[in-house]
Amino acid sequence: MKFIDIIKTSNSNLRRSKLRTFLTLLAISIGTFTLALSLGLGQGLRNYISSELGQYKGVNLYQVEKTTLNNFSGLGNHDPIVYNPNKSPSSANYQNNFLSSADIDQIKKVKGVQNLELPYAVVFDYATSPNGTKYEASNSTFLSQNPLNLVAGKTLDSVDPGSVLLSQKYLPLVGANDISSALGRNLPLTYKNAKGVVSTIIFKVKGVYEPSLIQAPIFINSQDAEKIATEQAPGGSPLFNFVFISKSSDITDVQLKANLSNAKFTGRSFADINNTLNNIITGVQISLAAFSGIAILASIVGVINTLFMAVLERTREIGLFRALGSKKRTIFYLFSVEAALLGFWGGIIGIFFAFLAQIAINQIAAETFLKGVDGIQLLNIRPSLIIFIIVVISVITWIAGLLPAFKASQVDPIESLRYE
Amino acid sequence: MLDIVNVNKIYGKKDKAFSALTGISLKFKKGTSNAIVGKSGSGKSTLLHILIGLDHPTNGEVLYNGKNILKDMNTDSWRGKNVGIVFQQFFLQPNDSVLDNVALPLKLQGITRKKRNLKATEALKKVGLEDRIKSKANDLSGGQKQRVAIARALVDNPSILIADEPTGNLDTENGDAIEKLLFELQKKLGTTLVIVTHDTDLAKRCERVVYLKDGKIENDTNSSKK
Repeated sequence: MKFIDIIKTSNSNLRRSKLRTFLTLLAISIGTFTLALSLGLGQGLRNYISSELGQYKGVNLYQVEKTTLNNFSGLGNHDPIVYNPNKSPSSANYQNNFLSSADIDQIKKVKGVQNLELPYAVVFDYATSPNGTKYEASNSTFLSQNPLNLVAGKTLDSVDPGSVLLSQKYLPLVGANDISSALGRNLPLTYKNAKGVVSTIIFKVKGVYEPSLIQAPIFINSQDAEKIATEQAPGGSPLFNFVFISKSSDITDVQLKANLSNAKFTGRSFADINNTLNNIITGVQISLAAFSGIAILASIVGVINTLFMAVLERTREIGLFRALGSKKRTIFYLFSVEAALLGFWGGIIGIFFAFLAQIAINQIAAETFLKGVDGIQLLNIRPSLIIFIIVVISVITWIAGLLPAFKASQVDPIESLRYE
Repeated sequence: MLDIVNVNKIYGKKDKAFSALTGISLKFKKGTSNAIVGKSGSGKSTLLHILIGLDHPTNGEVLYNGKNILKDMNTDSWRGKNVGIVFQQFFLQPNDSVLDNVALPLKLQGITRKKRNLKATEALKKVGLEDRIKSKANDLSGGQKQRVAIARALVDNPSILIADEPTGNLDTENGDAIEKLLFELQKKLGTTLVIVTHDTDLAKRCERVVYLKDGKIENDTNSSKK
């Protein structure tokens, strides 16, 4: 029997007991539906993280902090901890994680470290637009390796006092309607020093960049950042939990991290952060897929039951086929392909509804809890994912059908022709 | 052409052993009509199953043109290509069309749809049902169903046609018509016909009648009673 005829015959056999087939397909499609949504959710988040952190790919930038978070015991809900001078303090003692001047000097001396930059934390009360509207002005200090996607103007130089970079979404702060007209405009930023004295510095927009979830909307130059952060620091000296460094070209990533580790510091590149996030998503994805697996497992029991029923119902037909010259393996193929087709059609139905759910969920997400977050598609059921799921489900149901198919192939043709 | 050589069939073992066939030897010549007659339990069905390779003899062999059908060839393929079978209960696929029912043995052999439909149409013409090609098998009368079964048995021009109580499920009028058709086609196509029946009237229309009793040949005659 030609394989195409086996597929056609098996497919038409599915229509013989419509209700039973429908219920089996329903069970499979529920499993497929949940699997597609869970994998689609993971893929959506992964895509978003990749798109956000993708700009850091190949960027020579490491975040370095003290290696002290090794005995975390909660912030306060624990018994008193006896001081041990030979042991790093608990992370509950948060102040100990700040880097001292000595620490920063030590980091600079680690082999492979070059171009250490301090992430000054500056707090502006507001920015004043030309029409007098006051806006919040969250910001970051510009780092030389920061990979911003400039859409107009130039990036900041290493020494560039009085200049800022502005996100494309923040053009109203300088009263500009388009990106090019924003260049050179004044951006007055107001802050309070440690004693509460209010000051305003008028910056000039030097460049405009594409907005991103992980990039602040305003970048100020490091000279002004240092000045303001020093004014705002209660002790007159800014504190840092971490610093940024670049790696010299004569050392590998692994070697640099080892050198930092020997000096009791931890260095993480942005690729590491990306990997960590991806690992978390993979873990979540696997957990969700495991729940879908339970649904699929239940549907497999349905497939086995359906096929055993079909073997019983078609016993005389099996006998006829054998009497007309059919080989045992043809009978085996007919039933095993029927099982695979149950998975195939169940998969198609499940994916179809998952696709509809994806459209609805993405729309609802975009209008509610993800409103204002550009570029994120919460669910992303890709074509390759669809093919993967359908193939996997078909193979699983095919495997589930092997036992009934084998039983069908072993039916005694003489007995089956007598079967009522 | 088809030889049964000293076939024995024993079911069960030791104390429970039961001999269904004992020392059966028969030669069916090409183009002849033959009947195997006997009461229930005489062993005629067992002989039929052994004859077409669905069952294995305990001893002895079945030869087709000198070759053992169980050892020297693929039995299933041989049966599909060389043996047409007509059953008492028709065994049609009720929801399939008449054409698809007749073409089924060709489909099992892996013949393309176009070729098998051509052959099936030809076979249906032979049994006078060319106008019911698209009908569902379930919509036919008993006599028509048996005609479809005969067309299915003859669709690939087999050299052997086995008919197991072919008129057993039909009324007298339809039974006579089916008998007539079977013998007409057998003569016309030169097929070796083996009818298994307990109907002695039907058997007497065959050139040769083999009487079975308790698994043994009671009588074997080249009667030419037709």
